[in-house]
Amino acid sequence: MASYFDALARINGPVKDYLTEPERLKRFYTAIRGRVTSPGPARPVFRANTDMLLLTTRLRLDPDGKPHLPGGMEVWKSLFMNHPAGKYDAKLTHAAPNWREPDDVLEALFGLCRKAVENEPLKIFMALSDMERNRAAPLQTATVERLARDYKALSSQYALFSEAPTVSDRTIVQFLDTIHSVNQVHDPLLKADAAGSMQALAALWLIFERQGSISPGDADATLAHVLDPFEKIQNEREVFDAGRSGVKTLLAAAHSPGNVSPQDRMMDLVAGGVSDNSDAHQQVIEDMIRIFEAQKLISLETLFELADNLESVSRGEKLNTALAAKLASRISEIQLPRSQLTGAEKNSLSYGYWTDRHIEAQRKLNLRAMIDKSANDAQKLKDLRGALAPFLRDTLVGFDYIHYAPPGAQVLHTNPLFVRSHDFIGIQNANETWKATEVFGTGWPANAGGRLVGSLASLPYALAEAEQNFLIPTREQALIWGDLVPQMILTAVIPRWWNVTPLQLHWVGVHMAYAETLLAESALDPERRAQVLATLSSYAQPARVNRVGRMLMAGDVGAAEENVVPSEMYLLADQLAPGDRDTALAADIRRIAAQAPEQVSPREISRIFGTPKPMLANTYQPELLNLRTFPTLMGYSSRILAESWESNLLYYGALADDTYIRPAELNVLIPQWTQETVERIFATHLEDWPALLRSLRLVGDGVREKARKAPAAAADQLFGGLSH
Amino acid sequence: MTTRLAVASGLVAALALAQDRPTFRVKVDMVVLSFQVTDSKGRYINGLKPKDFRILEDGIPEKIATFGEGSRPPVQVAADGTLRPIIPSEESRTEGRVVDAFIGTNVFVLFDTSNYMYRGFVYASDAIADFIRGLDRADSVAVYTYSKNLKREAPLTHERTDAIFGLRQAVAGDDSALYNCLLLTLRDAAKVPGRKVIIVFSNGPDNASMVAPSDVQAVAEDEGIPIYVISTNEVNKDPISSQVFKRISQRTGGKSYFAKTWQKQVEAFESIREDLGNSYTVTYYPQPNPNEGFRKITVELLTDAAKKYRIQCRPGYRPRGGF
Repeated sequence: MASYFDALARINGPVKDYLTEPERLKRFYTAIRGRVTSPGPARPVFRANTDMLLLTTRLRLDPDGKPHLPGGMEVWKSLFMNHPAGKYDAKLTHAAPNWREPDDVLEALFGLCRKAVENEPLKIFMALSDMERNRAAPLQTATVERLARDYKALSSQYALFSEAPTVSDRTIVQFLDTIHSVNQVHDPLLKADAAGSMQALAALWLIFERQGSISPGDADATLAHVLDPFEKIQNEREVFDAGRSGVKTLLAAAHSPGNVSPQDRMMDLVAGGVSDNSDAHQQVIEDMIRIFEAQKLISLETLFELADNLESVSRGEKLNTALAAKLASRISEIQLPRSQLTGAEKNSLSYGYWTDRHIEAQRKLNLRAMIDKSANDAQKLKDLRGALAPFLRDTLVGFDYIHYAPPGAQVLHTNPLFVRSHDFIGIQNANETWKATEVFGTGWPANAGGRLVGSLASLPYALAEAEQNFLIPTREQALIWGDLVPQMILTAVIPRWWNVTPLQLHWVGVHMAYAETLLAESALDPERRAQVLATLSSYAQPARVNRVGRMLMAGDVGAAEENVVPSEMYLLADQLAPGDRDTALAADIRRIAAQAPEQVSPREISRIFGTPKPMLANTYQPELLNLRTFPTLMGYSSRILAESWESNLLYYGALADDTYIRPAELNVLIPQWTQETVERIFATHLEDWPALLRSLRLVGDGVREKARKAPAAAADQLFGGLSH
Repeated sequence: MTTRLAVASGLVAALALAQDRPTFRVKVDMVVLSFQVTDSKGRYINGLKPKDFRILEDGIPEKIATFGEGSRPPVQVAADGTLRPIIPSEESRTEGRVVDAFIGTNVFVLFDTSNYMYRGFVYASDAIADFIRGLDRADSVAVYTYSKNLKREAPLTHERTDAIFGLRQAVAGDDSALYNCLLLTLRDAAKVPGRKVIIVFSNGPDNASMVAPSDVQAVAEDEGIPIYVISTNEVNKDPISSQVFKRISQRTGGKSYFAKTWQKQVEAFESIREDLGNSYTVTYYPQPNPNEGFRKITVELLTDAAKKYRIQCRPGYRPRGGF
């Protein structure tokens, strides 16, 4: 009952009205409770799972007022009746043929929430709902069926579709078909190269689409063209050709000038794809090049020129020795994989076996010898460029790693085999190729260093996890560290600021200032206080709202501010400004909204200052969901707790406005500030959000102090003891 | 008011001018090399001069720029071989004492406070405190602790009380990420000019690092920072960690000790202090060398009598990539 209440208390609007309709309330509670109530009072009160919280938070209603069922009723009946991997629940399987209304499906999903096992139907429901959320038209029934059927094996790939709502049903099915086709490749090394290249190109496509380098109108066709050549891979030459074709397609879709080298243009796009000559942009590119060099990757230019030369060799021309020497010199820098398995362990049933083979094959490459060996076989000469496919895969994967490199990254700079060691196969037959990216191999001194295993689908989070422990706390390690820090790193790395305007920063700054004014007024004006607390109660836990109320009554505005997080401050201002005709700041907000509505629309502000929510919303697309912070729960819900914190970018945006920092500089500053914020956290319990706020403020105070001192220092330097 | 406006506009103009001026950065790679000379019985040989040995890098003789022994101030070696004192700058004089990064050694102590060290924690803390108190006056010391994360308990300082105060703030942690934290310590030490060493006090197991020991070793080799390891385990109890410790210390010009008891730990620290106090430190700017990979360093003693002595120094380095 408590969990059900909590799940309903967090939501507002039509969904809450729908779910709290008396009959429905009782019906879904009965489903949650079930018939068997033992062990009764002995049942632990610790909340069992997050599924119910997710269901109520993310449920949508159709225009007819009924819950939205992706694909329609028949898909869900079929899922419960005919699931390929076995029944979810015998009773529900039995009941499913009689389902008529969406409430029947909802009841089943609520009922599964009480089980200790993973609630797969709910996860499918959430994933597909999120995919449809921003689409112009819902997914077709056949597409939904296909996605539901493939969920178990391929769910980690679905975030790509959630983030790009312009991807058509046809392309979604093409993506799934291509995955199945690549899975048919028997040779693990060839499969790893094909899967790795395809995933790397898809991830790059997503980056370019997210940052606007590929327009929404072109996104679908571009992805389809990238996928085409991967549908029938039979050898390494085809992998190379598919990879190269994908690069050309992406560069063309991003309107790349014809005379720019593919390497330079790709690096430029990964850095943001903007024509910006600022120091910030220069620094971002330099940092990326540094990682590219540290990983000893081969440039696209070298690979493509060499491929062209090999093609001409097959027509009887000579090998370009300078190019071959350039590749050989880079290859010689690739170190031997360090022994991380004993002789007995070294077989294909262990992690690391296939990556060792992948690296070893690259080290042993000798183009000249291969040409001599194939001299009399025209087809073999043609296939020679296939030898470059593993290098191209690593370079493409490298670009993705570089884009998502966390602040304070050490592994990317220290382990030159980190990108090459990405294990797309894992243990043979474990089907890791399309699963979520995981960190593997930490600890244990004889290992070859940690590496990432699985697909590239959750590369940003995995990289953050891998690098998080290189941040150096100024206090003892915070209790919430392990769950919070990767998410904070994601928030610093994924949103980019190249296309943000000073007005948008000012919008957030004015909101924060107005919220501070509201809190100050609340200390003196009971009516205002009631208004503020009523608004705050929609976004903060009741206990904290009461605490803030007591502080305001006592006149302690400073203490009250320390208990209202920036996202709540923003929402407070957002809700109350339109109706406030007395305050100058409220008037300022209304004026900006009238002057530049497209720039400061809720959707635009959500896109700029929001945070990525891969667990909560199945997407890395930043958005503001305006949720109450989630409680600490078991399992993956700890990540959801971190994802429900939406304050960092709003705070930094206001800080930038306050200190006249240009938006482009935030691409460099926000990762630095995030690093400092993390290092200064000192929390005393798992839900100590004020500790995070204190840390944010410390960083903010430091920035303001520096900004105040900078002009004074410059003046001293220039004018010495000038007195006036 | 008029004056303030004039100053403000002048400031803006000056700032604009400053931004237009080009900045040239030149990277000069000076190699700092420390080594010890011992006889057949392991006794330190002191009093050698630059003319007694030569430094070779990939067989190419190098011109020594400065020479120092122990914690004595280094001297400049002129082209004709004469020695001249280096005059300290005004900034390096503090309270009548010359504080110069090139005098003495910058010692970074990395103390394992993970679960693995729980039992011997207090003894280890005392042994480190003793070591700090016994350092030469010219030396500076930093105290870092680690479990899953690194913590800078006391930044580099000449003040022994500050260092020991930081040491006593250490609390026991959880997992052990030795190689992560050793890497971070190396990065900090690399920013400090002059001679530096890292002393790792641990009992070995690492269950949380993302980086491999060999990658950390490569960074230490390239930066020329010797790593001394005091393991509180017996050498045969954890052979993998023991082998890694030996390799890292040997390749960087340091030493490894296996000291299970407090007494042995104190002896190990004493041995390290002796090593620091009896080391020779030379600097040189490498002669042109086309080898951009690993460059082998050789120190040769020139006199016949000296040829039977043993030299302990790091094997070489890779030219800096510019992290």
